[in-house]
Amino acid sequence: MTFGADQSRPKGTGLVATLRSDGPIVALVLVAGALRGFRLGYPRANLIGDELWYVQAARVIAGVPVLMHHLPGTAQSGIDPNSEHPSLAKVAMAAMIHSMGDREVAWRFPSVILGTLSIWLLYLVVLKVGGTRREAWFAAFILSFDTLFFIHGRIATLDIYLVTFALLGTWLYLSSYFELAAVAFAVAALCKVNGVLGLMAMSLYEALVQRRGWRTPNWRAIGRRALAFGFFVAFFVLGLGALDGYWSEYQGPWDHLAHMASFHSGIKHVGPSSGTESTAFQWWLNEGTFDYLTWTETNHGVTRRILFRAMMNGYVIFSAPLALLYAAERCWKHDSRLATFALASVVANYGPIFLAWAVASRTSYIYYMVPVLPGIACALALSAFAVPRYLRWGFAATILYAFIFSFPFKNL
Amino acid sequence: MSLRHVWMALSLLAVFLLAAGAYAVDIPGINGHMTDPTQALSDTDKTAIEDKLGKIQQDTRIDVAGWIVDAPEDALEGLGSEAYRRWRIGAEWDNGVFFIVPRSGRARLIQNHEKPELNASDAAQLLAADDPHAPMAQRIHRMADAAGTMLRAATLHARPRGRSHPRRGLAYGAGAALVLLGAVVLTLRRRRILIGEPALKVNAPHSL
Repeated sequence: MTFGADQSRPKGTGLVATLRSDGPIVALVLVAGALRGFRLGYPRANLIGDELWYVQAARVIAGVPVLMHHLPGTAQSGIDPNSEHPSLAKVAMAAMIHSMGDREVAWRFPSVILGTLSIWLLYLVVLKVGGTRREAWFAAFILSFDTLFFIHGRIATLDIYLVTFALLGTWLYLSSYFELAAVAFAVAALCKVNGVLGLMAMSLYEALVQRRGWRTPNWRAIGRRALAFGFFVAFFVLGLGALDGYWSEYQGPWDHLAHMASFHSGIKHVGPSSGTESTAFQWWLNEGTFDYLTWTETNHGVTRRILFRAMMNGYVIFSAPLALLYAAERCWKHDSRLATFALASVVANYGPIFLAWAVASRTSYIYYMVPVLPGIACALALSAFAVPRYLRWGFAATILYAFIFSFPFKNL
Repeated sequence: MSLRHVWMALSLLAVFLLAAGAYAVDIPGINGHMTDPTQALSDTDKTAIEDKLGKIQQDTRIDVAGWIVDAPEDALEGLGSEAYRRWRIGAEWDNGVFFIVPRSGRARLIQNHEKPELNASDAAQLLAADDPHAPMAQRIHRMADAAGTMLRAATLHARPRGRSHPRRGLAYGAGAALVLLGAVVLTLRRRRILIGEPALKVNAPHSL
């Protein structure tokens, strides 16, 4: 496979040039999309991981009959019973249930679209921060075949909504569509409040890029950030108010915000991790994994087993610390905007979660790493092109190997 | 007692044993949701029924199983109860419902005695779906459909409608739409797309 060595398209015009420049990412996105859609409704009538909460909430919002599992006894049709998160993603799932029926494909289809779109968006983001097409493709490849990102790209949970809209916001911001970027980050936050961390990542990125000129502040850039933040706050508050008006009993967005703050600050875990809970340190060792769904069926003497496990691709996460160190060095030397972006993205998305766990004993789960993975993928792509080619392809092969090893349907 | 009496007694005992043996049914190993040692169902029917009962189980978390048996009707209750216990019907689920279907005669319904899933009225209605004169596959399908309808209705609950505030939602939504419009206008204006002038070079963050 041949890619251009820089952002410009390969020489030549017409179909061949287009295929050479865009063919690899189109092929990758198609493969990633097909894998995410593979046996989407299987195993039937099983909820995977936190679908237990969000699909049940979507069913209640859609007003369809539900089993009273993982629902408060006070749940009422049309009202989001899962008020610890904003309603947007659940309303999207409810709309799918309303239009396609109460089926697995209906809940999960938006995740497949968003999970696939996020890969393409990361590719565009890497190009925007000065990465080469090869680096952009490699980052997209890593994100495509990370196990945790793959699973979240096909189950009906909030994280993939958050990540995709945050990546959209990032791309818009880097394309100088600052106000629209703020709206995209607000949409991410209306799916899950961590969406605000995407805007923080952009602010941190700008601060790192400009750090040498800190004695003479760039007021235009500061004004730009302030304006973007203003648009973010305005759209988030008004959007939350709109969602609450239709699908909650809150009197307004402030009541709901207060409830979310109170709820999330109250989730604490002190002592050794247990069950599905884990610490923010463990994730870097791919520990704290747990099964989202284990399903076994024996039919006519043939046993089939499906395992959805909340775990990252081991080769991705074990390589991540070294790659981030390398990105930090490149960022320090001020010679790679991709390195700066990777670092800013990881720090902004992981830092607050780490602090919440370290300072406030906030209960944490390994899937909190989903928004961190795009930054890690960027750092790994950068590092992969700093080593000989055979190491790079060897690394890609190990990622594929680990992905296949943990593919949920490999025993079918 | 003469030898003739002994012989008569032994003969009677043999007749009793043979008669009992004629109706003695061993409980076979369970084979999916529908155990059919008599081969009354074709492979296609068996697969379709397995799928149907499996779906009911997944939807309701109630184990629905059955056994097609060649036994007299008066032995069905005892055989069914023993199979229910031995096969641990419902043990790994919320509850279990079990049909024992004779090749000739009406089916029986066996439930957990301590917490029956269906009340007497529903159980009677369910068994009324059985037509002993119909082909076996049709009988099983009809009972499975009836069980599915009843069990789903018993376990699924449409919640009462909540009270939302659509007017308030509309007002906030209009505000959000205005913010979005403002974002679009500001962005396009800065890039001079709205008034048809060449786009200004924007001091983008990545070019700082």
